[in-house]
Amino acid sequence: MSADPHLSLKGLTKVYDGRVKAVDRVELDIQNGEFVTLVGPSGCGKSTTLRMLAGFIEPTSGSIEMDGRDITFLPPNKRDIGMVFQSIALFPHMTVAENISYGMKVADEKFSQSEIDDRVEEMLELVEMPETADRYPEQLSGGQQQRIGLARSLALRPEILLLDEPLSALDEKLREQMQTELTKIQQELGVTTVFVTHNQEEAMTMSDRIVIMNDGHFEQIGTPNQVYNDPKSTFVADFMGKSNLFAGTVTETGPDESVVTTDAGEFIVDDTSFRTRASVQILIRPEDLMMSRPSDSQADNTLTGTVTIVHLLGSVTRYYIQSEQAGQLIVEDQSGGQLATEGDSVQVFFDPSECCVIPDPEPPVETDVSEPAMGVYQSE
Amino acid sequence: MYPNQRWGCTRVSSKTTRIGERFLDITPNSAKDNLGYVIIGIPVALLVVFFLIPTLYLFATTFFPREGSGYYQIGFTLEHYARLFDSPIYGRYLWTTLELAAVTTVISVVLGYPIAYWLARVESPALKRGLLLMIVATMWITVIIRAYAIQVVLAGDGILNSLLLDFRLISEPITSSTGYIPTIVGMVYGFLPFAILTIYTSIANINPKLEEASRNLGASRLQTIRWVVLPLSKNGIAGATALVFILAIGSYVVPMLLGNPSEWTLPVIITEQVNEQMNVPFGAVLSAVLTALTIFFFLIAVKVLGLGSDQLIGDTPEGETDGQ
Repeated sequence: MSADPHLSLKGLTKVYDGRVKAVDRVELDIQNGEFVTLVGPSGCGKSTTLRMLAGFIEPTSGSIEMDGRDITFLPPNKRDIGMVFQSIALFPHMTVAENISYGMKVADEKFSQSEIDDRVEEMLELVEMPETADRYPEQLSGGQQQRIGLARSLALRPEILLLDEPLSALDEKLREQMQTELTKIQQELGVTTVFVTHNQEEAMTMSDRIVIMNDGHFEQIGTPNQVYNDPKSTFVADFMGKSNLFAGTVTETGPDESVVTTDAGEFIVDDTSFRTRASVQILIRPEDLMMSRPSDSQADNTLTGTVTIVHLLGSVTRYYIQSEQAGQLIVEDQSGGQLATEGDSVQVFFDPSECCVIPDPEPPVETDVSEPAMGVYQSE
Repeated sequence: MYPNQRWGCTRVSSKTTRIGERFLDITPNSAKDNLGYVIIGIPVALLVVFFLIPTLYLFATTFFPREGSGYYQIGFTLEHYARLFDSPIYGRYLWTTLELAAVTTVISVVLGYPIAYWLARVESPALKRGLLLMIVATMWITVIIRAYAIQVVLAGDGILNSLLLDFRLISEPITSSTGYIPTIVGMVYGFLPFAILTIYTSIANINPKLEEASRNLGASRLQTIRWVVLPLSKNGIAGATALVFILAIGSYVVPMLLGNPSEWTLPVIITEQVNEQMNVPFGAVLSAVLTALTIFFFLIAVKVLGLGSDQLIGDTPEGETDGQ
């Protein structure tokens, strides 16, 4: 990633009514052809960020650069940025062909009718909807309308494509199908894409990089693998998937392993980057937590509990386990069989290399350091 | 999702049939039926007694011979109709009525459209409420007071001319308290709110994301209005045109108070015939002409707008809100 960024967000900030910071000094460089997803709960500022990129909202401060050129205050029609809307927003009084060629019609540059026809045909083939040129949007299904929305946004061959939750109006099955097609088309064209969604699965499956937003700032930027397996905060850990979290304090550090003391007991982790007495959270993803019948031999990183709920999800079986030491735990098993039923006593354990240690965002007030940390970080 | 002009009719009406069938299934209940008849019966009775019968009587009066005393008696004569067609002056009045209405309509719709657009797109709900209130508030003042207020403003030595003279923008008064311009000003003032509110409803139904999509695709603000907003609010424009024109044909107070005799419309002449000339049957003939004219333009509006089918509601609401 040595190339100059295609799109740069520099200290981009939007303040409403002089007080509410919708977006707070965010920094991001996007490479040419990259698929970047902004993901976060509603109200986190992801849509505001996207709308600033499109030019519908003026930032309070900071700048947006495209290929090094400042476009922060350029009107939306001068940006060369295509956008697909959540509400689809096809022009209802125009045919599919008129919708797709709208940008060519209003452009300063004059296109001949044959150029327009060729482009419409090309775009319809791209989204695999030939023969629909003369239909009106309301004669199409939701998924088809969204494809035409995509075709329309790409017809002018924009530098950058913005996708504002384009799939959220579609039903589950269609959404998955559209995810793959969207990714395919994006890779085919190599257009730099910024995608906004509140759906972490969508973010995981489609993106080169994911930006997790919370409360107006970027919590973490990384590849799907990084943000899932190595979250930098409990917010990211929680948002990107189901998690088992144990709050505790680093009590011993060694060359290969550290010991973290939590309410649930001592755990051995392979992360040695924290100093002693650091407040941390241990994250273990449900699929990294293993389960067996109870045995007397107490191995490292082992907890005991009772299975309360079993969810068969097809390829995965999810167990909710009530543990005396650690509260509710989630274990996901992909072996296919059912390891335990509700009411069974089980033993759960994890490998030190499978867990991730996250710095605790709010370290508790320093008390007497000789006091063991237990009880202080009662998880809720 | 929603029916659009082209395909809506069949789809909506089929839905209506379905609802109708269901309605038949669940209401053989006679008590409910009777209540329905009562609820519909009251306004129907009122309309029959106070509108339909007087209108028919008015029509009958056009054939009644006039008495020497100035009143009329039951009978049959076509002399009043003969007078209407014999004298060219009534054709003049008819033309004046239509011309004033047409000019008023064009100005009201052209002025009203940008205001309606702005109103529909104001973001602050408080500001929107305030503006709507201001527009409606102009209708709270009786038209007579408004007419006199316009006289005060436009009079030769009135506020407008004094100001323009003081600033040396004009060398002599350009308006007077009565005449063509004051009449048009008065009528536009009276009917502009109707135009604004009719167009406003239709623009408010257009998904603002369509305008964003247009801008995103490279269209300027004006291009967006030309190619997206105007076509999608054409029912609103047509509705406002029909409404203002039909209302303006019936204008009486404004042309009488703000017009010179050359701006007198049919309603003014009708009043004059009945009150001054004591010629009730001829007043009735002119009234019948005015009524026929109104019905004629109403039918045109129905035809153009496709009212009476499923389009009465105005423009098709497009696109769902996306929960932002």
